[in-house]
Amino acid sequence: MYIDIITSFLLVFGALLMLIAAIGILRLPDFYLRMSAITKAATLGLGMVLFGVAIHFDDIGVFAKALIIVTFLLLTSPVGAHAIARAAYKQGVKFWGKTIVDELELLIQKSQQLEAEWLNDKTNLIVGEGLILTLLKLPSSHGGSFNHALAIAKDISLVSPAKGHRLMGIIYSKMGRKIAAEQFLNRACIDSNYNNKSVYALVGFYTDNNLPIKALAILEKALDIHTENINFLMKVIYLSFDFGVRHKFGFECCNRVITSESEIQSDYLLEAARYKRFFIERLSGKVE
Amino acid sequence: MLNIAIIVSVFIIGLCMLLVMIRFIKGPSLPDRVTAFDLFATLVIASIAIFSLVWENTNFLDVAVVLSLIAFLGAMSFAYYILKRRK
Repeated sequence: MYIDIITSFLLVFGALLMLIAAIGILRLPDFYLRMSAITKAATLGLGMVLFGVAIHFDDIGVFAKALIIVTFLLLTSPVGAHAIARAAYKQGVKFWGKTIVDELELLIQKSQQLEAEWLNDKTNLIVGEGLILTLLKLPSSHGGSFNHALAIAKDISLVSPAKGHRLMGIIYSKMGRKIAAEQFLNRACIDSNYNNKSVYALVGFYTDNNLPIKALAILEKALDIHTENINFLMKVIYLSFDFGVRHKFGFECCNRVITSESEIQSDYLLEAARYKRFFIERLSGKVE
Repeated sequence: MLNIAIIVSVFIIGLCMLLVMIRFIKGPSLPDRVTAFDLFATLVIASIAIFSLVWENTNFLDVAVVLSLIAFLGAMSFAYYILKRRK
């Protein structure tokens, strides 16, 4: 009796969810909205109907079959929807008139505008940097190209070697050529006398490749030159804590933040004091 | 109770098929028709599940498994076709 009630409820409710999907596909104004309507409602609706059937038969084999269908649907329906929507976008299926943001279109416009400005004036480094970062974000089918970005970075390095080398390092690390990327980022650090941007780029590269010791060595060198730089000190503390390496150096940096004579925001002081306690605990734990 | 529920849900799914068919005929673009076809395949799977309940025969569920596989392959190949077709 109870089984009948549950089965009836699941059947009717699943069918109603499918009705929502069908109304959505008929009434929604553009292709992409219709796509979203069917993939959500239909999957849940079919799942409810199948589980209703499985509960009615009360048999492990039927239940397994229902589970197979539902799992398969949950895996494939987003993939299929994504593939079709991507193909439709590339074919130029129109958006609804009230769509506000089309990020790829905005990115293409921005890259074209920056390209024009860059060709106009090749000494304007801010425009060049913006152009390179936009080109790295664009997919290759819409004008994004590593070689083009590299050519621009070479032009920049003629004017300002530090900036050019940093950008070339970033491009190489996106291409996956790690040795070249490391070389260029290191050169950028030396050329720019360890300024914020180059050091961040190199440290980011090392942490992405899971080399915290090298990152900390670079920060140590940078701190020899800029002894009072609060950003570097905090970066050392976070890295040392997250990766669990070189606690003594992290502890030292906590002390340097706390005893520093220049004005520091109170947030940083609080953080440093909190992390100092962790470092003391970890260091004393090792001794015992 | 279960008989009424089966009749109601079959009726609703038939109505859904009708609505999806309207979208299939209207278009306006090929991706619209492909998504309508995808939803139609889902509806057929649901109706097969309900008919296996009507005839008390669980073998029909195997058909539903195969159909869900084929619907996915159909959608993927249509996506590839849309991508490669000339504008």
